[in-house]
Amino acid sequence: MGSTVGARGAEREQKRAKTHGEEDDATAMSIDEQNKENVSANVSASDVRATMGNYYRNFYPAEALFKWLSHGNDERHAKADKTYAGKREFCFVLDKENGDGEIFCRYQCFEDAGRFAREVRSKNPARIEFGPVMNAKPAHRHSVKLHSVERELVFDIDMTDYDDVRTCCKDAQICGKCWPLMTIAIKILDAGLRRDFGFKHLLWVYSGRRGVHCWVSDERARKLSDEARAAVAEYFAVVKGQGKSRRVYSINPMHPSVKRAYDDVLKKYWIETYLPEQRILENNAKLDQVLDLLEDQELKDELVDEFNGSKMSSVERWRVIEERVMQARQPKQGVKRNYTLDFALEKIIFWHIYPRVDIEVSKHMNHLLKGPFCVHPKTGRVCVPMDPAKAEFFDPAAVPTVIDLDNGNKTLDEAMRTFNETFWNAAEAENKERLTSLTRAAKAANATGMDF
Amino acid sequence: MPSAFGVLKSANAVAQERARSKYTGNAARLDAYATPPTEERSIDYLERCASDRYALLRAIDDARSGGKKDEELKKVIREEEERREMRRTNGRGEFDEENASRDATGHFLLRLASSLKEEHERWFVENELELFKYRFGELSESGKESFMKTNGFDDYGAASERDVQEHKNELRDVLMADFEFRKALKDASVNNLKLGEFERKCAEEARNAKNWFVVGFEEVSPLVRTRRAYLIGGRAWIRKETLDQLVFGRFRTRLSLGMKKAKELFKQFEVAEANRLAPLLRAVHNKRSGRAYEGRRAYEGEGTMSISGIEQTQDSFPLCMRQLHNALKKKHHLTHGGRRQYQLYLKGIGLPLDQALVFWKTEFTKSPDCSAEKFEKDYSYGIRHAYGREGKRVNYTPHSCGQCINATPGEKDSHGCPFRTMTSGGNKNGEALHELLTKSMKIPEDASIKIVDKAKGMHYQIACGMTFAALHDGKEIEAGVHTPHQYFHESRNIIAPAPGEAAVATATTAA
Ligand code: SF4
Ligand SMILES: [Zn+2]
Repeated sequence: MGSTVGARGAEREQKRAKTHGEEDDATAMSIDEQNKENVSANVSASDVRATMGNYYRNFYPAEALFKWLSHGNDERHAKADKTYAGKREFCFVLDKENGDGEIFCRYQCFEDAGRFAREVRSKNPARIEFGPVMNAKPAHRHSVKLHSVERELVFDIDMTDYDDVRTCCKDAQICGKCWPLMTIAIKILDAGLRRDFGFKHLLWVYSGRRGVHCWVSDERARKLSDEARAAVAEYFAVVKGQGKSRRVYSINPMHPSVKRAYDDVLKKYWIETYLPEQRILENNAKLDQVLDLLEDQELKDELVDEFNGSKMSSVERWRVIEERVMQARQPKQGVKRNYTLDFALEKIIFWHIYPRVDIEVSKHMNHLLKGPFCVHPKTGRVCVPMDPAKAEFFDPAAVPTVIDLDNGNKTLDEAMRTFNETFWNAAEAENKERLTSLTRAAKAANATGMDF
Repeated sequence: MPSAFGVLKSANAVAQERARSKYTGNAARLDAYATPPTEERSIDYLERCASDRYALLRAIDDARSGGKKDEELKKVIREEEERREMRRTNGRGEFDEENASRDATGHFLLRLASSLKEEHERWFVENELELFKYRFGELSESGKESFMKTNGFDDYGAASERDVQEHKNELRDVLMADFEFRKALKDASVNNLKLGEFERKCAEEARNAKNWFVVGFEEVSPLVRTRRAYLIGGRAWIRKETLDQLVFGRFRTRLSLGMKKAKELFKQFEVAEANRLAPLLRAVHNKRSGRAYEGRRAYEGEGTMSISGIEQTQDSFPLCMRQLHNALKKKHHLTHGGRRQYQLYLKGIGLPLDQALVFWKTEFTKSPDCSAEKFEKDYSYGIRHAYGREGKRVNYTPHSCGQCINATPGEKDSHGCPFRTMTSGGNKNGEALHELLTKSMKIPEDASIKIVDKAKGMHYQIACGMTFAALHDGKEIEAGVHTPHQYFHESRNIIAPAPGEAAVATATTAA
């Protein structure tokens, strides 16, 4: 294990040495390396495995989760749908005894939180995935034809989709330099879901390693058809495609939602965080990738010359690019204007740092997704809720691991506080309000003699 | 509730219904299919309505899976409607009551028939929606308006003057970013539209409150997806011109709801109509076979193909089946999807059950992973099932091209339509297909390039037809490729043109 990390480190070192060749890089790198160590925590998979039983017994908030997934229908209220909670599909993922591979126990369902908690403790699964609420109990799948009826609208953003715009890490690694890409994604999606779609109850969760999930729990979101889910996901898919065929949509000119993402988030993060941290304009391959996006060979050649051997930082280089593009945009006598330059700067920014949502996950109601408070098998970190309003302060390296919890070094108190304060309290109040208003409506209908 | 399906009662000869007869539909030229016609009809008439409707939807489905859209698709629908006298208007554009009634009767019967299985339901809703879009598009502006009114599709909110003024800049940007709008403006302007001018026009349009409607975003998914609407708090602001999308969305929703009711109804009606309509409806979807191939030599020719014939007629196999055959020979195994596709095809080209069992057993047991016992236990059932000797005992039809194309084979699978699988996903550039065509099938470079292009344009069946032509001295399949076994028979007719069935029989006896 240790040797693989070492080999990877060396590989990265080599890569960076090739691209920068600057002296001050050495210091930058050592900080970088330190961070990485922190994030991927020094735990082994078998340690994690060994503490899971204890985690489920003493920490996993089964009751709170089940209550959330019942969306008020577990209340002792005349209008609560008592059958609702029992129709939710859970999937327990168990490790195979011989250690290679997993067993998916699908179609699990539970009458109430107590039973769910007991089953979790006795089965001790590697992780627990949440599926849709069905038309009948999933356990009865042999006698009834099952179909999904409701499900939270979910989003999944994973750092591996950002590999071509990260110079610090790749694949499953993350560090303080690339994590801000997730912050950007959270900020943009959170604002869009709330303002454009009117959703209020968003639960953001760290996925335990290198990404984030979002569970939109509003009643309206839960009832969306697959088609509408796809539409919401695509609405946010302003940047699509991979590598060279990655395209940016709706920016020439910008749709209002796209413009908001740009004005409120992207512009600022590009200059203040992304460029200084990733330093892509000092890396020849990446610089090339950026300048190609200008779609103006002449201008590109000019800039390449200018940066050749220069000691300018990425931010300084960006300022130069901006200036040159502005100049080139001025109409000149006898020269055909290149209209693609009108949005070239914005395009570059979107291309690099606009959220890359895995839309397949959002599209289907019956897609299973790992639930909050699961434990990542490799890092041992708990998938804790995140406060989207303070996303920039979230530090994956500070997230408790099961080992921390086991030792008593850390608790889940703060995670639970975040869960309640940024999400559940408001959602619960609305659930109650909904039930009361149902009663009120029924009463009113009775009074007017309407046939219900 | 059963009154909603009066057509069913009519089969029961409910006399009093006759008095109210005369179906008028909703807006004369287009039906939202809220209520079925109620005249009394003979069982023959109903059967014809159902099979015509099926054929029309089938034609739409085939065209779509063959990659046709817009004008091309419209042409297909129009021709099929005309051929089957299903246009709701006569040659002078006047409402044709008789046709309209048949149209509605067919719709409701097929709705019932499709409610039994989820895949049929999806198929029905998709293709009905396509038909509806086409017909709605044929209406005049006032026709559209009156349709929306009569069917209650018009309960959307108008934007208030104040809201519009407050958001006028955002609305302008939505218009500017809307590719369709831009295109429409461009087409309408005589000279090249200057940027400033374009912006001014958009701003003007945006400020006019009459241009905007407000609906729930769920109802206009296509506009949300492409960011052609302005969204605030879950409400989508859409332009008057995009109201069509709302109508389509609502039509679809209603149809889906209607399917749920149909399911309930079928249960009741199955008892009452156990001997007449029920079996008719049950049969509709099971009659599936290549449309253009109907009535020609179909797959019933069991017994005209032998095991060695399979090898000898490989030149007549369409690409999909060659792939499966080669995979089977190489791996001595096929995954479920491949087994099904190939088993039914072999049945379709005349391999009898006993021979099929021998053929599959011989291949499968060549693999060390499959003993004779395992074969009997795990695989022989599937073969007998395909021949209708097990399970529901339905004599299953070989898969159509549409079915093959819509299959979603994974990495380990060999089924599906190679014109699709080899031009999508990781094979997008089509190089693998080009290589296969030129190297293994010896098709000339230039022909292959054209074929690959067609396939990339998602015209899979056309690409397959071109391949056929390239392999048969330029002779084409006039009716197009619709099912793999039809491809086979067409090829045998050219390669071994003996009188009648002899074409295939030669291959058998030569064995
Ligand atoms: S078009 Fe039809 S016959 Fe041709 S390869 Fe595809 S599925 Fe087979
Ligand atoms: Zn990093």
